[in-house]
Amino acid sequence: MSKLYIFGIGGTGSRVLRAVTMLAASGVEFGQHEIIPIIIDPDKSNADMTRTVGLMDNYIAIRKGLNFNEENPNRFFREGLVKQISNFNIPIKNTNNLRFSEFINIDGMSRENKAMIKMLFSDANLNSDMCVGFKGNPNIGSVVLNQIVEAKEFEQFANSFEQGDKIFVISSIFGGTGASGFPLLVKTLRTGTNFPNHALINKAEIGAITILPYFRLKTNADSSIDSGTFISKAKSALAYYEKNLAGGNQVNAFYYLGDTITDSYDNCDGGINQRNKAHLIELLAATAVVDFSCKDYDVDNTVNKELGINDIADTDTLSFSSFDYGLRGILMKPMTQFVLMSKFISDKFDLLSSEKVNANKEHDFISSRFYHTEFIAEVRKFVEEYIVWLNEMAYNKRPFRPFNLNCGDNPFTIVEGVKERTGFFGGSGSYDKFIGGINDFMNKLKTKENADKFLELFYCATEKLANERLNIK
Amino acid sequence: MDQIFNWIYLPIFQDMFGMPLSDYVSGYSSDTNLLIPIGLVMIGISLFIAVLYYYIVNKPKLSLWWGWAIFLGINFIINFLVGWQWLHQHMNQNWPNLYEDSEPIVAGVEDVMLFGLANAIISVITFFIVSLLVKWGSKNCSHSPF
Repeated sequence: MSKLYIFGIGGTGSRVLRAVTMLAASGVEFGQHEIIPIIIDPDKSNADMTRTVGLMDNYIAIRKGLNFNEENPNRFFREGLVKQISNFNIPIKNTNNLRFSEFINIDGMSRENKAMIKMLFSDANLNSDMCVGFKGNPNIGSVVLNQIVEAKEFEQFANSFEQGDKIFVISSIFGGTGASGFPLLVKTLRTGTNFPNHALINKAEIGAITILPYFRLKTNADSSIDSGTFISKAKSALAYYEKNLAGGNQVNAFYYLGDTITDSYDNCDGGINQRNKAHLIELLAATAVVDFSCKDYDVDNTVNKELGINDIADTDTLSFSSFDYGLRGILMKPMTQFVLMSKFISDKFDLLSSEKVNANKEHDFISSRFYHTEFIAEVRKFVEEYIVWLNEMAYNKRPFRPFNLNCGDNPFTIVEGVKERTGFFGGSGSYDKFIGGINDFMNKLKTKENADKFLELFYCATEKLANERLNIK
Repeated sequence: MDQIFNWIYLPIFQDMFGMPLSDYVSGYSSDTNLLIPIGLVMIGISLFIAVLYYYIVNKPKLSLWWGWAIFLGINFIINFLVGWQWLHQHMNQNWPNLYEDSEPIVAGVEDVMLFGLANAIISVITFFIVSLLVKWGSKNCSHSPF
């Protein structure tokens, strides 16, 4: 059973992992049997990270209640997401309540070394508290992150690595943690010898996405991060990557993403206040993971990949029609199916759990109090998060709004730009028709347990309804 | 066929609409057994209403017991009207002065209405039985009324 290890470095890494989790839940097909997310972020309280960890825990809790076999057609939550290390996180030691100067023990250095350090790091760098990451300073990160290979969590990863497994690295190029952690991690994976299975890992297929600036930060005198340096830092890093990563065939599939239209986020150094809205770029980065996991790349070469969207004005809101055929094919059907289910569960739970849904009576969902189980609580939590995630993308810049989340009582007007097919008699859609779609499959289920039946019903119904009413196949 | 419909209508309900009318509709004191066409129509209507509920309307909203009860009520009313009016028309044709006679030969106006009521009550039972037979294939209402 092959595995895909995804290293998400820094805040962007966590946000892309959030999108990966959403796609996995929707039923987007990954090439590997198991996805193993690993987060590298010294900022333990980073809200982007804690939110993603919570979401992945939520996913795993749902999946624990499900049984997948060949017969089960359901693709919701089908992708295996494995929590291999505690909190999905490789901890960075000695960064808590420690200034960088203390971390490198500048006081214990010779006069010459001190002088060298002063050349490489500003006073602000040296006095920087590392408990919230490297605050956009990759020169600090490149020193501190060298120690990840010594963590027992890294050893756990290395121990579990097997022939055929793949590695994908997600990072941003314009921050601190991602920009410094990415080349270090790749170097460790390619040349390191002081961890188990290093021969296998050194030769593994490695993919990576580096995310170019796609947001700015508001000016904040209290913050040490200045988004005005994002572009210059990105340029320097790209020059380094070109020579050492892509040029040296260290990364076999190298994806680049960025956007010139940017929104200004609140500027904070990290911690619980770093909770950025989901962005289209993160979703697209997640599709790079899908692309990498589904294809084989030559380990002695580097393929550089970019992604374009259809010619649109800078002010336009994007939807599925902004994507080319291939990308639309990956995202449109599973996301539509999942959002249909999410809206039903989120907006009409009382109706869904009532006797008006014949399938509830057919499968004793009501009498067995299935709707009061922990499984349903977890599913409800997840779908709420899914809608929040879509809403965040819809109101970010550039906005990506594939769904009309205010579709009211007609769920079949939910896909932007897709007109509902009303049939010969012209009746428009309603939740009654949705229930009809669910009831259509109540006697055709292949699964036995309530949790499996519940998701199989929704998967089959949404697949049929998306096809019949929205012509999405 | 005569015996079947006589058995359905008479033993329980003949006291309701009276012996003379009972003898009349069963063909004992007349040329034709009216219970056969009225009974067949009653079964046909019950079957149609059940099919309408389970397969044509077939709405999740109506899949609760009261949805079924609404159609049961419709069936009751239609069969009451059919039973009553069928017999009423028949009596009017054969006994034009029936309701004007101080002592009706066969039945009074109330007796004819009570026959309609008996027909409606029998249609309730019929609808229930037909429901049990046809509900299984319904997408949205197969568990209605239970």
